[in-house]
Amino acid sequence: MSPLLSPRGSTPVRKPALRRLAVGVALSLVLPLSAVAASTSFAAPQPAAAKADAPAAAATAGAPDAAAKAAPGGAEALAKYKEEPVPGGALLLAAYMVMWALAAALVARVVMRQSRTEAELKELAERVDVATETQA
Amino acid sequence: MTAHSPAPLQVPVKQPWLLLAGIALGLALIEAALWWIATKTPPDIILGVVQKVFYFHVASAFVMLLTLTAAAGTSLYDLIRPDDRADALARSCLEVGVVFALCVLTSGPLWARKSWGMYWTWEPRLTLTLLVTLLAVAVIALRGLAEDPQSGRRVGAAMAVMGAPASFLIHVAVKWWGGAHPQVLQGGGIRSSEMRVAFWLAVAGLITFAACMVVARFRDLRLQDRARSLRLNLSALELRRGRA
Repeated sequence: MSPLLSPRGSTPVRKPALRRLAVGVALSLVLPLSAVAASTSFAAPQPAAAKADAPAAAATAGAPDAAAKAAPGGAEALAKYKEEPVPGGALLLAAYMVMWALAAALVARVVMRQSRTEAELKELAERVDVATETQA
Repeated sequence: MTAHSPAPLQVPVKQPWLLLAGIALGLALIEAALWWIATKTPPDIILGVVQKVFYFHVASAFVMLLTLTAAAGTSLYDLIRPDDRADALARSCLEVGVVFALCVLTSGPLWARKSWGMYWTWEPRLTLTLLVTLLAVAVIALRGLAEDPQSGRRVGAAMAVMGAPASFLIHVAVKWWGGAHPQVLQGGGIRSSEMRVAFWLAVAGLITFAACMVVARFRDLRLQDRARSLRLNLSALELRRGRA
């Protein structure tokens, strides 16, 4: 080991561990998404039992009527909103898929860059070893 | 340690078990939140299931504001007292912050399509979020493209600091200037206990996951500093050998 590398620096992260981590993270993000997609909540937007929680649930809805009125195009947008059937389940699925894709891309990028840096470090350490031995 | 001296060789290179444990915890919390959202939370009486975007959309916004504020704080520190570690931390926070900002900017419009009848409206909070995201992307691009890394570092840090007030304005935008964006937490909170559990699970999961990603990226940047330092040492050795 080169004297230029501190003892703490002599054990880079093992690549198989990183690969396992990347696969684990990808599965962890994809499987629950499939579970959510398969859940009945997508199929049935308005179960009767949910009505009991209606006021509480409406509290998070952001009052679409008021929002549509406040938004540019106010009354027109509201009228369009009321007429046009928008598939909520598909929008929800799209939102979660985009979020998980971004999270998975972040993990993949970090893991790949770390692997590349560690390979470069290993190569540099070997070259420094050779140079030091030659000089000695 | 100054901005111009080589990086120190104090990088946590050993297998970061704490980091792996953190990622596992974050994923477990995210999965628990997803399960809770799918099975326990009621669909909204007006919006239906699309309201369930709320849990991870708002949690992503939390993470975005936290990471961008942390990036601004560490950048300010780096400007006052140049420190490679502060610089690496600022870059890590910025990169993770941009990813979560993109999550906010894609999930929000999908919710808005159902709620407002349109994907986008130029109301204050949305516009500010877009501007802050573009500013963060500009800083990352600047760091990557600058011919002189030290100049890029200082200009990038200054730009990241300038983004801090904008992050604060995102938080208070609806209160100060109005707009269509709903204020659930600031406007009375979530009343349903099932929804509260799902929301806070999502927040805890995403914050843990983001913190681990920041640490992992920070570690990578410090390893790159080490590689740069090794390259310098190697050049010095080869020069000496050439002279001998």
